[in-house]
Amino acid sequence: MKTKRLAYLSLFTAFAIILSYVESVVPINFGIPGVKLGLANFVIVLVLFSMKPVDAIIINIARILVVGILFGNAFSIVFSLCGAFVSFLCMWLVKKIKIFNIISISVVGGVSHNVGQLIVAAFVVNSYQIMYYVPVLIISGVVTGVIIGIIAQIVVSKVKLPKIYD
Amino acid sequence: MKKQDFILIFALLAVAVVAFFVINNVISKDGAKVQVLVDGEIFYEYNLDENGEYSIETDMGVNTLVIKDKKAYVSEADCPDKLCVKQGEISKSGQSVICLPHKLVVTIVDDEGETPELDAIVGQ
Repeated sequence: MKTKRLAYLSLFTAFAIILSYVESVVPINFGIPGVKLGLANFVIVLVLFSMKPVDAIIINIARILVVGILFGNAFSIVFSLCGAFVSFLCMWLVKKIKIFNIISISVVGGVSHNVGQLIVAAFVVNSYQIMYYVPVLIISGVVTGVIIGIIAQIVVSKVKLPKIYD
Repeated sequence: MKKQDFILIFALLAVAVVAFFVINNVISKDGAKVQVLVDGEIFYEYNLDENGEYSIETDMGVNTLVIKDKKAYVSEADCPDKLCVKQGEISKSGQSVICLPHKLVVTIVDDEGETPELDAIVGQ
């Protein structure tokens, strides 16, 4: 592993962990249980635009393990991993299509993260009735995705993202 | 933002709105009974017309279920996140309160004891 890549992986991971922590200390309440802004997704969007897809996976897993062990429990780790995996896959696919810009990628990430977690939840409680929550989570995913996407767009246009791979 | 981004966002919102109306208009009617499911199995069944307070103890913990004025809600729980308490009152058939840490689902069913979706199943 190149030193430069290692350094940027660590930097982005630390950034994601801090954002997760900030969000848990200062929760932005949308008035709906289980809905949060998902600030850490901002880092993953940035990584998708500056590093390789596999780097986004590494950063996500490292973040979830560290945050889960420090502030959460085994339950929250499994849920976060599933949500993060589904959301990464969807964002990566949407980015591959190339006709969408950064806001769409973030929106797809937010929605798929919520839906992914809900599917796991349905398996855990062994009940399909939890799916009644789908509309709420789609809308909240769109709203948080747009917010994160706008921030990411501003950052990508103002900040010169590092060239990690030559 | 480009045109396709707006299209994507509106498509997602449309899916949410359609899902919302399907759930609320096609399926929901006033419920009659309250079922308590632990790990997907029915543990208790209460009449929605009778007011009462029930303590539901499972291996995972304790939830207090209150039935009052044809509405059911979880008033207390010893789970860490208390999301089941925050989910509030339910009264329509098919609605449910879910406590993930305790694998507990409190759901409203109609007279036949079936959830509305199952009405469509005929035979095997």
